[in-house]
Amino acid sequence: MLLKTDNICTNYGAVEAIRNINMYVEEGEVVAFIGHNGAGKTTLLKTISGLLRPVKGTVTWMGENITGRPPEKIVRAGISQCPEGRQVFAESTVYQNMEMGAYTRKDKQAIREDIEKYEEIFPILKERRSQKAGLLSGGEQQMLAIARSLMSRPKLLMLDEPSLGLAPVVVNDVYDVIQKIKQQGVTILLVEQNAMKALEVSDRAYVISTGEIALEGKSEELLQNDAVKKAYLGG
Amino acid sequence: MHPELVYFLKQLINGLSVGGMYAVIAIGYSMVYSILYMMNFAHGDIYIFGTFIAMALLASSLPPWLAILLAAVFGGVIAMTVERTVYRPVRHANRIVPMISALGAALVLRTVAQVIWGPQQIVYPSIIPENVIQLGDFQILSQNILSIAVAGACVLLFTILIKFTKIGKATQCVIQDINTSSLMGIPVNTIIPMVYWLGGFFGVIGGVMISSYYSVISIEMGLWGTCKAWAAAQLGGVGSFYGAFLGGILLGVLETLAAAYLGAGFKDSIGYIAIVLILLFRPQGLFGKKKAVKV
Repeated sequence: MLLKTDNICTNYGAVEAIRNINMYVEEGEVVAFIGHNGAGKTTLLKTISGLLRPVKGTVTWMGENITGRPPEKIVRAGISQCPEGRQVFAESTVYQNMEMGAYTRKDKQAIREDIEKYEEIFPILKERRSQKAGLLSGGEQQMLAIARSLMSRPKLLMLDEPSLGLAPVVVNDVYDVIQKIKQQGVTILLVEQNAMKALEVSDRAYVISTGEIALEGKSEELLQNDAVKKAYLGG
Repeated sequence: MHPELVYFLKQLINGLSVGGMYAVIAIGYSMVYSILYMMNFAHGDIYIFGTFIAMALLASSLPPWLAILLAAVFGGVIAMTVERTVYRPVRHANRIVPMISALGAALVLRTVAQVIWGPQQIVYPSIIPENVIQLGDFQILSQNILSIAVAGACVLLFTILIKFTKIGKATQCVIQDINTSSLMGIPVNTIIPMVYWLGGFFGVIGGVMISSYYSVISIEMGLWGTCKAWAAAQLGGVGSFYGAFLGGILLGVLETLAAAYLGAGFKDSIGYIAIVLILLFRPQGLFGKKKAVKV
């Protein structure tokens, strides 16, 4: 098992944002967390990536307890979070953004090759190489944010709401890319309000509601589940 | 050359050298501001403490450049210590809180300096012999050349550091977004103290230049320096390093020309008059960029 959380509870300010979250991710899987805005999805990712400290519970990564470690150590351990709202470094160029994604690495030659590899997968990044990232469109910024997160060569990529604020046709592009990354064998933990898209791309999924896991199972089964259909798939 | 023109050029060179010293102080102040959006009210008291230490070291048998370098390194350590002990614990509090902490840190440093060196003005040693260099009709003081050269060297050093080193590039990212930077694996809690260290380091270099230029040091010059750095940063654009640097030079030139042509009383007020006028028409400062506010 790659990642496992046991009874994670994390507060966001004074609010108890997630309670007793038990989940796991196996190597090579795509696991989705779906739920409404404010359900605690981002809090869970931030707890795993070290931006937030849980008040209770443990995060286990490849058999090692990593609870409460600072984010930079967690990146080095092989977990990379692509933040909600993309958060590209707007004042830096597209290329510099990608370089920063590889901050933990020292192999300059391989970093350059990786950048070229992602420029092939995301041609827009090559075209806009020396432009400021803030000038890209929302969808382009999302592509850049994903490529940047992959630059650390993570074992686990955590995507926080990759479809947020994007036009439906752009959402399709983003999910095509996620599909491609999946085929390359990267394990993905995906958090989404767009339940349909998330369930289509993932192997397993958890439904999170007011900070607790309400349902879990194979994604194809959850797609057929009446309660899920009603609450998250628009009937 | 026309005597009026000679007078003007002389004042301009004076202004540039005073401005160069302000610029060196302002660049550290601006860095610290841009990384945490915190007004570092202790900036002046940190660097004046280091400038006192430089004075002590200059009196020893060390070569002057080494004495100043050591004092600047130590000034950086003071700044880093203040960050670690006074600012970091309140980093996530309401932004008024770190400002008050900064005032507290400034008072503590000032009091310690007063206990050691006393409240009176002290004659500061000059770091190079005072020579007059004759260029045709024109005379330049060696002090002027030194301060312009040091300002140039500082901005060059700073540029190499921030633009071409890995840690400098990472610093630019931390300035843009702390959380996302740490998700890239950038050790944010190493970068922030380093920025404070640089602020103190450049501050002491500027402080030594100023004190030796005017041949005086006193604990009051700390707060005075904070005000100059703040004014330079406002003029040039808060959060923009080169803006702060150019703002410092502009401030020095304005002050010197105002003193020469409008009367000595205008020297200290001209900078603030300029700030009011500039902020009226360009709220982001002369060289600052407009910052998009996220909603």
